Amino acid sequence: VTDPRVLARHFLDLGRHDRALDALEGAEPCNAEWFLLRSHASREIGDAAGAVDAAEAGLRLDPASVELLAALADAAAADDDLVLAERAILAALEHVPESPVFLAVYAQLAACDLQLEKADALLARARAVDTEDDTVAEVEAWYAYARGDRRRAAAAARRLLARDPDSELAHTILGGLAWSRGVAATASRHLDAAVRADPARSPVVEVAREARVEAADPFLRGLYRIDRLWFWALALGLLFATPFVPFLAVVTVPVLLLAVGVALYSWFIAPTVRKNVRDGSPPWYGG
Amino acid sequence: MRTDDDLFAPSLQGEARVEALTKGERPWELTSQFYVAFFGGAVAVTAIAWLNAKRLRAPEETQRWILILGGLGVVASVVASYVLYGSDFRSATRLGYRIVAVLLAGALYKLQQPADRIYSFRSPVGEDEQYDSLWIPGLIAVVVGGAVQLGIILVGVGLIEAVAS
Repeated sequence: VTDPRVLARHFLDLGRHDRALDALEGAEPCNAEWFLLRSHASREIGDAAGAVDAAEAGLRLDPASVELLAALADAAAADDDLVLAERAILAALEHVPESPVFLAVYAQLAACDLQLEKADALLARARAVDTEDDTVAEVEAWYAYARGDRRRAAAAARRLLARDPDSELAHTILGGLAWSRGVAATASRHLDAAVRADPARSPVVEVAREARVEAADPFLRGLYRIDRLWFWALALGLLFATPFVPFLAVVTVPVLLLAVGVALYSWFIAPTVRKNVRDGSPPWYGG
Repeated sequence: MRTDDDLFAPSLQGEARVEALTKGERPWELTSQFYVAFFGGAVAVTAIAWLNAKRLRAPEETQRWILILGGLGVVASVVASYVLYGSDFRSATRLGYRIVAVLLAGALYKLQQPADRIYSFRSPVGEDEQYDSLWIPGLIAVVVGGAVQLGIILVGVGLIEAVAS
C-alpha cells in the first residue's frame, strides 16, 4: 500500500492539490510532515486559513521545523495576517539567519505592509547572500514592479523568463508593463501566458481578456495608445501655453480636437464595444 | 544606518489589507485625480490624494508629504497666478491655478504610486472591483476645494499687490 504522504507529495508535484488533500485524508495526522503537506495543499487550493491551521498544528509537533515556519509565513500572508507571517519568518530566520529565501520572503512581507525602507534593506541583504536564488529573483521582480520601477521590473522579469519560460509572475509583470504603455498586443500575449500558467488568478484573467479585446479591435487599440497620461499632459500643456505663445494654436487646435474625440470615444463608445465583445464574442476578436 | 537589531525587530502592523474592500472603503484610481486637479485646483486634489492615501493605508510619512506638497502647491498657485497674470483675476482664476494643480497632481501621483501598486497587486479581486468611483467625491472636492482655492488666490494676489505697491 502506498504511503498517503508519498501519494500526496506526488499529487502536489503534479499540481493536483485537491487530490493531494484527498490522499492525506486517508492517513492519520501522525507527524509534522503530514501537516506540512496539508498546509501546502490547502494553500494551493486557496484555503489560506486551513493552511495556517495545518502549519500551526505541525509546529506544535515540531517547533523547530523551518519548512513549517516558512509554510506558516506564506499561509498567514495569504490569510491577510502579516503580523503572524512576520513572527513565523523571524522564527525561521533564527534557525537559518542567512537564508536568501527567508530574507526575500521577509522583504516581500515588509513591502506588503508598505515598509519600503525595510523591504529595500532585506532584499539587498538577500541579494548579497545569493543573487541567483529563484525566490530572490521573483521577489526582486515583484518588488520593482510594485514600486513602479519599470526598467528594473522588466529586466528582472526577463531574467525570470530566461530561467522559466512559463513563469506566471514574469508574464504578469511584462504583460502589466505593456498594458500600462498601451501596447495591447504584447500585453495580451504575456497576460494570456500568465493565465495559462495559473488559471486560478482571476484578476489576471480579467485583464488578459480586456487586453485581448483591445489588441483585436483596431479602434480600441489605437485609442488605448493615445489615451495615456503623456497625451493629456501634452494637451493640457498646449492649452496653458497657447495664450502666451499664440502661434502654438496651429498644434493646439488639432490636439484638443483629438482630445475631445478620445474622451468621447473612451467614455461612450469603448464601453459599448467591450460589452458587445463580452456578450457576443464575434470571431474576429479571438474568443 | 540600519542595524541587524532594527532589521529583524518585529515591525509589521498588518494594516494594509488584501481582502476585497467594500464600496466606500476602496481607494480611487490615481489617474482620475488629474481631473480633480484640473477642475478643482491644488486644495481639491490634495484633499482627494490625502483621503486616498488613508484608504490605501499608506505610511504616515507619505500622508504627511501629501499635505506638505499640497500646502506648497496652494502657495505656488497664488504666486504663479500673480506672476503669469498679475491682477487679471479672470485669467488667474481660469488658468493660473490649474497649471500648478496639474503639476502638483503629478507629484502626488508619484507619492501614492507604491502603495497603490502594492494594493492592486495583492488585491484578490479584479481591476473593476478594486477601486471606487471618484465621480461624487471628486465633484464635491472640485466644488468645495475649488471655491476655497479661488478665495485663497484672490486674497493672496490682493495681498501681493498691496505689498508690491
